[in-house]
Amino acid sequence: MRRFSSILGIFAVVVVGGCTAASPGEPIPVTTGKTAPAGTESSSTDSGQKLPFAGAPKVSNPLDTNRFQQDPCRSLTSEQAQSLDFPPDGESRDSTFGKACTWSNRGSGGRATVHFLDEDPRGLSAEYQAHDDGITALFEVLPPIEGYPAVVSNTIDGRPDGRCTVIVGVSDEIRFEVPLWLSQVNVGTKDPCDVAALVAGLALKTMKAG
Amino acid sequence: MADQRDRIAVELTNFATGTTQGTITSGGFTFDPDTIRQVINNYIDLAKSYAQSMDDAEPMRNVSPGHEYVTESFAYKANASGASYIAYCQHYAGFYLREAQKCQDALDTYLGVEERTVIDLGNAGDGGSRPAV
Repeated sequence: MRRFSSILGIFAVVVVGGCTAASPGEPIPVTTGKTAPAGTESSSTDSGQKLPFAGAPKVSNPLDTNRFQQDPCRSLTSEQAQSLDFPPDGESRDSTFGKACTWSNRGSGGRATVHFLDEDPRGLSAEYQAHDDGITALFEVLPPIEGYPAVVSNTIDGRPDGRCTVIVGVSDEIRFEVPLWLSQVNVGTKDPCDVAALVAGLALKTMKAG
Repeated sequence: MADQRDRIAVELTNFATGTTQGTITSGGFTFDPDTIRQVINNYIDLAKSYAQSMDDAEPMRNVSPGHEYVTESFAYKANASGASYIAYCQHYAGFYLREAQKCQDALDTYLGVEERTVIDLGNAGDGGSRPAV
């Protein structure tokens, strides 16, 4: 058995050594999309595409949202949540695209989520690209929220049912979305996109305060 | 009381069969009020679950193609599939909310109380404030 292990070890060294042999070429920087950039220099995606693209605006004042990306439930304070008729604490969960936190009012049917899409390091450019590709049924550029560029971007138009998603770019790479469902009593009387933008603004105020 | 039991049986049969009037000619189910309340809560939980699935699926709009035709084709199919899934979730979120409402209506009829909505309407219409969201 010991002899077999030794042979296996020698084989592994040879194989690994073969895989790590140097090859000519220029190193290509890779952005992870996990943290916001410190400066305002142009960055690029994993495929080398320069950000921003597809007509997305450059984020001139990137916000460090790292601690909120790790725990999106910090994005709304208890007071902010209660001002929206939500319980003080949200429910966090992981998704394919990044971490999310949802506040919901079971009695009214209203719910809002702060969802960082940091597994996709293309920032708002991805939303503009989806619009260019004709994927979104609803796309609107909003006025900046708390100084950060924002859009409405939805695969299907859920406004008649009281649903809308607003996306905010906090850096060229990082964005978060706020999918929102109005309370049943507010469906048809309030614009869910306006309310989603309001929630996004509250979250940004919290993030800016650190 | 027996009359009320008959009424709730009719209500529940109607929502199960999709009819709005008629008489019971075959078997059915009977529920006590607590069971119906549980069914209502289960329907609301289902509706919430579909709503959350819809929110989680929404970022699929960003599935991006690579530069080759094959990946581009895959991405467009994924996007179309995502849109179909989101529409599916939206349909069932509404469907289960409506089913919960039918149960609530049946329960209210049985209990002889004024019908109310599954989702609390808050103070709307009473001169009070609406929920912020």
